[in-house]
Amino acid sequence: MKMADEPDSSGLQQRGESPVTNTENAEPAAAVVADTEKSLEGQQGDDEREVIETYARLLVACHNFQREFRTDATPTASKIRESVADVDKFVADYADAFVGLMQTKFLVEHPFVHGANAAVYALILADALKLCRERRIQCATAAATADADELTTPGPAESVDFGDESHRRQNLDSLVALMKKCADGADLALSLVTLYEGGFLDAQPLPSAWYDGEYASHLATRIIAIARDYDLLVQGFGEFPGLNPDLAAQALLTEMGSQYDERLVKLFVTTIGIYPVGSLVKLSDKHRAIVIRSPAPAGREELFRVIRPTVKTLGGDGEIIDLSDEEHVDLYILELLDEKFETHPGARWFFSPFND
Amino acid sequence: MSLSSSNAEGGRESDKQTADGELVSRFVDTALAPDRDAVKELRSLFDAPSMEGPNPIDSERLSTILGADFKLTDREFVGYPVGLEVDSLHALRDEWSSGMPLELRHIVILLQVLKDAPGKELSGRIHEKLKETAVEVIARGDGKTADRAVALIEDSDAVEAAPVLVAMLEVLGDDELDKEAPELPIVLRALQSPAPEPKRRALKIGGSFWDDTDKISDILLPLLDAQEQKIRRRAYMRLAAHHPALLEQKVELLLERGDFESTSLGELQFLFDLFAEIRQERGGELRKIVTSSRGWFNAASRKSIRAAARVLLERGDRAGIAAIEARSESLLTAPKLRKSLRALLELHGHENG
Repeated sequence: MKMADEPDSSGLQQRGESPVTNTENAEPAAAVVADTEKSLEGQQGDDEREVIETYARLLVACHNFQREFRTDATPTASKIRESVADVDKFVADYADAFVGLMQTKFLVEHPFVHGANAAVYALILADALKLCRERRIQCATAAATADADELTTPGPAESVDFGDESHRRQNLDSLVALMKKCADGADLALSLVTLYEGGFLDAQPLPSAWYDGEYASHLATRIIAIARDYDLLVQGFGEFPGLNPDLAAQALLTEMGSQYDERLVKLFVTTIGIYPVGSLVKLSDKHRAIVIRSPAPAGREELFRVIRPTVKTLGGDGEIIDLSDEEHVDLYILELLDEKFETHPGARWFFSPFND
Repeated sequence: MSLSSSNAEGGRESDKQTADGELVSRFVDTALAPDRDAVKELRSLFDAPSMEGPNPIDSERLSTILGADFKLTDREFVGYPVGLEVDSLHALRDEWSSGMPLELRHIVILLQVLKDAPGKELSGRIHEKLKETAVEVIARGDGKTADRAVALIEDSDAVEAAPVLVAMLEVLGDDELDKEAPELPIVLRALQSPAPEPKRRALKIGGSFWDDTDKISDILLPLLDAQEQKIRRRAYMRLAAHHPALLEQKVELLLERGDFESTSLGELQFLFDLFAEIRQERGGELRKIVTSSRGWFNAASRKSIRAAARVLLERGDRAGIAAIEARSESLLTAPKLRKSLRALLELHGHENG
């Protein structure tokens, strides 16, 4: 994992500068720099693999959990929690890489993939909000188990009117299904709360009958709703083929304030970007490029910003361009390309420009 | 579990871990160097059904989102200015613990399940969860939320609140509470519980909060008449320690009425002992009981004499012991009482009795 005080060589590489200016020691210094870069690259390579592994372990944990849920076994969410905790170690530094991995869609349209992705998105959003580690993990674990009840009662969805007794009944049935199957304790509490509150996603009060008083949905419920819906919109389900990530982000933005908490949607979209990492795009100069970095979530002091990611052009030199830079003000993303994963250059691109 | 079945289980677990490890490593390899075949093979390794659709609530919402107002071709929307105010994000983060606390939400939901989806299958676990959640609240010193939690449980009529209160009081253990202690509402609620166990436990909790006359005298005094002897005894001890004047009044009233019929000998002795403890000169009043000729043949009075005699003997009150000896030898003393006073004197080493 990249530590906070680790030298950031990416900027140097982009500008083609050497970090050493003392000409007397240029040769040994160059060797040291080369060794350091090699060592950092090696470290980075290990981290890449570990980042992908943590996501893969989460996928497998969700896969096993849901398989046990469908059979007679009593599933435990403890493996999911462990895997979520592992992802959490990397999410602050490698949120972009996780988003990129999910955009590859190696595995799609399975409930377990949706569970794992929802957990990662929830973790990213909770991290951007600077929630403490325990709460981040709680949120993400609840997101991963939120659809488990559907596994025991598959079939066409019945119509439900928001806010009325049928809505409450539906939510109650979901959490009863989860309770009947699952043995674990602590994490289940938040899962139950978020399941019960599901459907009341903005910060409006729930009907008083639900809680015997008027209370807005819990923050975790609102985080999980955005995480799950964004993944559903991108992944697709049943007959719905899924949206491109930019359109999915736009869909959330159009519904903020009504379906979703406005501040959370803005934070989420700013964090993952309108064009999430891994998106293939065509630039206004007709070059094809891959989005390698969304606007960094840290240091967002400005009140308004236009989402402008960093891209790497495909073919040729593979130039890295930060579209937010003033020198690239005339260059913009023309369109998102609908190319499939098979043509993606692999996960190593998500970690650029470090691996350049 | 037998050794062989344990081994078999261990073997299965090991196989499962190997299989999981294989899935992880296949995924990593495919992610680092994707090609059509690798992806196809990866997909075949995961045995899972396709996603038919989201649950009804999500379906409803997503159909709204994907409805007429949102045009999938509306690419001009890209670059939407996302206004983020740092202060509002700080406020948002604090919303985790604002509004209705998470534990209360959890408790409401558990009670809803008990009420709306009753069944033995979940009932036991829900009772345990209610207890666990309530204990978590009190363990972090949030007395207000803990009090609301118990109130919710009491109002639900679906669950007994007493076991929850007892579990909460166990967390407090030997803590000493003052009248500002956040946990105090729970102790006061337990003292007024209709069930005996919370009262017994609450009376064991020490601290200066018992000195608060306004609250405690109203709550403690009714416990002096509790049906359960242990509760009465503990209540008397609290009264003696924190409100001795009230105890004196209580015993004086008892002596004045001479109504000891419903009070056991042991309890009477305990009461007299506390009474004598408060002030030394109270020994004189106990001696008066022993020497009084009123109602010697009355069983209730005999009981009070024996109780007073025991206290005087245990305290080594010389004047009192002399009075007991005199009464044990007097022909005016009822034979049964004379006999029991002699036995008491012998028991305390006064052989001449």
